[in-house]
Amino acid sequence: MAVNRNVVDRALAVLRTLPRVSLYNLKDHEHRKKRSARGQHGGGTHGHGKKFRQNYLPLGFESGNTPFHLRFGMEKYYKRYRLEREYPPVSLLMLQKMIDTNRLDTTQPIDLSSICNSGVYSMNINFNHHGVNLTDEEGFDQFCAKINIEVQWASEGAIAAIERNGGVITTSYYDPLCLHAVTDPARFFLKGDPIPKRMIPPEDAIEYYSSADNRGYLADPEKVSLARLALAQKYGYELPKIEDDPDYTMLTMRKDPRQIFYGLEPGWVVSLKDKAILKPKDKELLEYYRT
Amino acid sequence: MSLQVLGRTLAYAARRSALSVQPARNASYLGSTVVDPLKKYPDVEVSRDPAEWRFVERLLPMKTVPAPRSTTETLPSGWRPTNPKSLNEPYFIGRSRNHQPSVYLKIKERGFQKFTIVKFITGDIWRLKEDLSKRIEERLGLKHGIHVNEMYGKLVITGDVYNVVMEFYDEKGF
Repeated sequence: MAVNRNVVDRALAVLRTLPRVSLYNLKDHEHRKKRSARGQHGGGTHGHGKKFRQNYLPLGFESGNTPFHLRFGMEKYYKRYRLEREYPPVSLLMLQKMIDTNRLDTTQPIDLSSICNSGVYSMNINFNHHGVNLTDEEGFDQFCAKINIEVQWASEGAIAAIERNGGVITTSYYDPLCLHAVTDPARFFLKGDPIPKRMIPPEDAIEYYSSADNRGYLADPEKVSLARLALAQKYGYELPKIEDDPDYTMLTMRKDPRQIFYGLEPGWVVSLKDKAILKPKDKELLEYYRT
Repeated sequence: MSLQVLGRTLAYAARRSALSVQPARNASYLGSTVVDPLKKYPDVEVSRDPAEWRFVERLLPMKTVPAPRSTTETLPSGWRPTNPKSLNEPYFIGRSRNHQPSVYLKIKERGFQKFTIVKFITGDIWRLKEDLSKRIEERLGLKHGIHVNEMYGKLVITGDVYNVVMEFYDEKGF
């Protein structure tokens, strides 16, 4: 069939100037199927007239009065979500990077306060964040610092990577009230409140923090040293002797289970302005803050 | 020591103790006295021991960004200093204030739009644009649009070409 070339060219020219189909000009076609009318709004026959036997329903017809999306029970995927503790992760590579860029001082024990003070890690207590989760997803091979670190959650590989280099790792729990002080000590000291005493972990966490495999802060130290040896054999490295280390005092520094800052006891008040520490002498206060 | 701080801390301590030494408050909070006579509060010991104060100082954050551990060699985490040979190029890509490469991947609209951004560029930015677009076409076989912000020293490349740009960045040694 002969087609006038001018017509084709003209049509193509018009097409070129027409707007392209994109997300901005998409719309439904003219005869879109809508949800069939119900009840008095023309619902009687659904547009199929009367007096005809009909053994099928119009395409897309939703029978029944309960809409499909309400017909089935709810699966509570986010059940207990607001109650779960969260631990924003820090990988071994990130930790090594923080050490390399002098954000963390390896001559002192590292804890949640120093990680938060580095300015590279952020956590929000209002989102149920409870501290650092040290992961071994990245940087297991690169990690080469000898540190005494205290985190809130740690994977087995992360524990192995730190102990391989002669370091010490502890997992410890802070209750939300203490977390306000621990995550921003400078702001906390300005309040003029006494340093809170740390509460014991909740029921579902106490097992984790008293297990030697997780290097929990409530675990038996003898069991921890056995677990260190077992992990060294599992991963195939020679466990460096901490006793012979020149940094022995730094590596063996531990917090009391009721203590939240190194060297400062619960109940003390720190005045940044006067550079003074107030210690209670009252008998009942001492009894309350006793560990 | 400042009376205000002492008063506040002691008031808190008094509240905690079971002794009935709660200082009387006036009807208005603002009208009430900040400090009551010190005899009303439980006794405290004021310590100014520098050995103890060192533990407090350790808890205060640093005020400026510290310099990296070494500025001459590559560190275990993969951080490396700027190579002096990169100064001979007609352009230069600076580091961020945290001494990290200033190449970023920006994801917008829930992953619908992706941009690779290079910042802190000095020198001949148009030459850098040509070199980068050539490199991207070599690696990916596609031309990516590049927006040049000459005033601000910034390039915005459409699409996720972070790895290609970082390869270029490391090769030049910025």
